[in-house]
Amino acid sequence: MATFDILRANLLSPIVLAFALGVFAKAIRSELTLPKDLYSSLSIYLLLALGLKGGVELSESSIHVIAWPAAATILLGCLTPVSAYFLLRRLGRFSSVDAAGMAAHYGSVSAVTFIAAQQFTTNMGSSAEGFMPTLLTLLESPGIHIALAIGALKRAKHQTSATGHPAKSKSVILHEILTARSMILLVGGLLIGLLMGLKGYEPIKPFFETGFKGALVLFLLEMGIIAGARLKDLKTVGPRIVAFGILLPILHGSIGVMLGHFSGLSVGGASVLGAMAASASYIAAPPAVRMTLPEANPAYYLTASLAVTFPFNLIVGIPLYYKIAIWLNS
Amino acid sequence: MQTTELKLLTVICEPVLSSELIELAKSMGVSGFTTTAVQGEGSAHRHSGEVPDAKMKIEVIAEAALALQVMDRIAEEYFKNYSLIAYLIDAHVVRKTKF
Repeated sequence: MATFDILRANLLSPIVLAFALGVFAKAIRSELTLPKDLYSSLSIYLLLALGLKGGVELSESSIHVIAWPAAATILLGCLTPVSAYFLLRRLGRFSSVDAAGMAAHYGSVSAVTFIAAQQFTTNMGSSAEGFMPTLLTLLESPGIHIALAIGALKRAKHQTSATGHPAKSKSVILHEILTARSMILLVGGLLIGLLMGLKGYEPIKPFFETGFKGALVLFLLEMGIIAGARLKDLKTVGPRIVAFGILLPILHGSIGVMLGHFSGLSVGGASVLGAMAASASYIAAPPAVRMTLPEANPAYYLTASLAVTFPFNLIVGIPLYYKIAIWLNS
Repeated sequence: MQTTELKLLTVICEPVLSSELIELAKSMGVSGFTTTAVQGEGSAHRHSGEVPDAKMKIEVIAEAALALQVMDRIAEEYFKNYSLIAYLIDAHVVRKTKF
């Protein structure tokens, strides 16, 4: 399929259109917003459905099929926060805490981007491997920890005033990340899926699969509204944030696709791993960064991940990583 | 009805801070608290969470001296880097033993 056709198919997908509607609604100052509880319910449904299905698929796969892709994912989780930090620091001239704060976001992963990539590759006729949600959980936390550790070291070095909030201990942060809603639902779902297997999944499958794509459309509508609300911050944070919000996903996405390809993943699997590496977390990372690196400017990391990187990946990035995967495979 | 004058300490903060501030207040001797999810924007126009204008309101009632101490501690530890406000008002309560 030609690049243009791939891009067009993606642009006309319901999730991208729903996202665009959300951004548009915010731009014309519509009062439209999803009730907060519905937004939470949708995210619980999507994450648990993702975990359950991934767990069932995992119960059907053998360990040596997953071993190399899992190793590649952990390598990615360690690599991306470091590359993001150094690029932001050296090339972007951001302060060390701001660079570490953003690196924590780019080292972690956005589950919605993951789901969007998974849907895209399925629509393109090359579905990703069923165990991909397992890789998602592996990529979620190492990046945040590495970036926060860099930030905490730099912060300790430059701490000048005695007042101010004492940084939380590592174990408290680790506990918070591991017990966060998204982690419990994903890992819990994987375990339930793994234990119950295909037989146990059959009766609940209609609920978790039939509504999945529809729920995703509603979720993306709200994501559009949230991202739309951040667009006005682009003016205050400046072009540096926009540039890095696009540069980092292209770099990390390409590395992700390559590692995925060389670890034995299919075209679909390598594209989804690329999209995972390219994505920036906006649920797990912000509170962890806020509490550990309070001096880091939240406008930088939230605007970069929500208003720049998320839409970029959704519209251009995912088809791009897919194209790279096809190219590597041929 | 017999009432006693105490202080109502209200803190409006970024949601991410609420559990920590409650722990702090409790560790200093405050007996209870109420939280409400609210929306708004302060002078810094700074949004630090995923939902732009979401804030948390924490209310505690305590003896004037304790309420002041808690407010001082919050000011000292959090005002520098976080978006939050805190204020005290008089509260006439029944059943003083509850506080």
